[in-house]
Amino acid sequence: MNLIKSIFGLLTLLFLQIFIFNNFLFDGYLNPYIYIAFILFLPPRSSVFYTLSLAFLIGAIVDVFEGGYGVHTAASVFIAFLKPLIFRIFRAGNNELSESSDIKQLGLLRSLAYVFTGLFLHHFILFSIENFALDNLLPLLMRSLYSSIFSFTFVLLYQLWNYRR
Amino acid sequence: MRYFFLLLKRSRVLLYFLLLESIAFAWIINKRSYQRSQFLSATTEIKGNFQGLAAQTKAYLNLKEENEQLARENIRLRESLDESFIFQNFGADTINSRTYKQRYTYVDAQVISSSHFKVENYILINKGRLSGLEENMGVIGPSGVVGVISNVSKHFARVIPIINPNLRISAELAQDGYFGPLRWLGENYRESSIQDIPPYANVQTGDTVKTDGRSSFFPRGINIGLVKSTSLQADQNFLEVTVSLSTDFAKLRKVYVVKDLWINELDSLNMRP
Repeated sequence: MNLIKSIFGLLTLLFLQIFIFNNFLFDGYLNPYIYIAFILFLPPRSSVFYTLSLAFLIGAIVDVFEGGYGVHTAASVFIAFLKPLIFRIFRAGNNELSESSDIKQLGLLRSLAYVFTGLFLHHFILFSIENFALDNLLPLLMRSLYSSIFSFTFVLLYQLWNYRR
Repeated sequence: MRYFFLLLKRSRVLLYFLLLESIAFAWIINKRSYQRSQFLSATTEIKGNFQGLAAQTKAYLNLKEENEQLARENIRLRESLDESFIFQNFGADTINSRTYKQRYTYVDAQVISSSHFKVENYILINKGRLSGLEENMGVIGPSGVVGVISNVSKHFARVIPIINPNLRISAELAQDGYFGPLRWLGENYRESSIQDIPPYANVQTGDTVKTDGRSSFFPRGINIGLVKSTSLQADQNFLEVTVSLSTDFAKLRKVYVVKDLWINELDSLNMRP
């Protein structure tokens, strides 16, 4: 049951990403990439191999539909690799939580910060790979920041909707 | 050997990560391939069907502006008709009837999705192979050059606009007649630049830039934009001319695909060694 639910969640995210978010917001300047939320919300105890493979698959699907040529694949695999590290940073100072705790156990504020950090890093890596250079760093950072704020809002809405069901 | 395997086992996550990343980067770097273009035409079809719906709504909201643009274009075309010219033939004993044959025809199409803030921008239009479109056909808009078709599916086509660094077309300075490759540098979608203009060319700000007959995609004399500034290239031998583009890719809705009726004959000459 749980598996079907998460597959359904993944398909919803991908559908929203490919057919709605890739097209309609501000002609592409602020492009929210919400599909990475699926990776970020995977339970921390899940195996890294599994997370990496899943990130590769999701990124490849988005790439195929967006004509990204592997840009999304590279970025989401990167985030899947960094995910345990980001989680550990936000877990720090809370000794009651072990390595295997769920994200929800982080508490509201910390889990929000965790998700936002993940989204921001993803956008930044994505836009840098797309540019294939780190010159004009400031516009790149600003664009990542604005886009990740947008994605963050949509991920929150999506989570609320998910939570109610 | 044992240590080696131990090392392998310990860093297997890192190795797997590196493997996946290198596949992704190989994909990024290895962009042009036949399989990809086949695949693209399939996904183009799926995406086009969905986005056509949204584009229809958008087109309805922009009807007024679009009408004005088309009316302006009509005026320009009417001005170039025979009836707008006076026929003067002083003392000649033969009258020239038309000796022209049609070279270009046009197919009109709507933009159903486009990007202009990315580095590699693309446009999707709502006509495809069934309307007679093929790869490497030029695309122009009401105010100037748009791009070149890169992939065609049954009902849709994908256009590389001139604001994509992968496309280079030949551009001509209308005043002087000097020409060079128009290449987008990937920053501002309202500007592009022409390289390799000789330094003795008298380029003025505000000169018109047009297509020349050398690129096989467009007829001669289609607007590209106006000269904004000039500077010496890094090699110090040629001028680089910055052009403000006449097509605004942020509000492009209607385009025309250029069909060259003589392309086969021209190609057969180019193929010769």
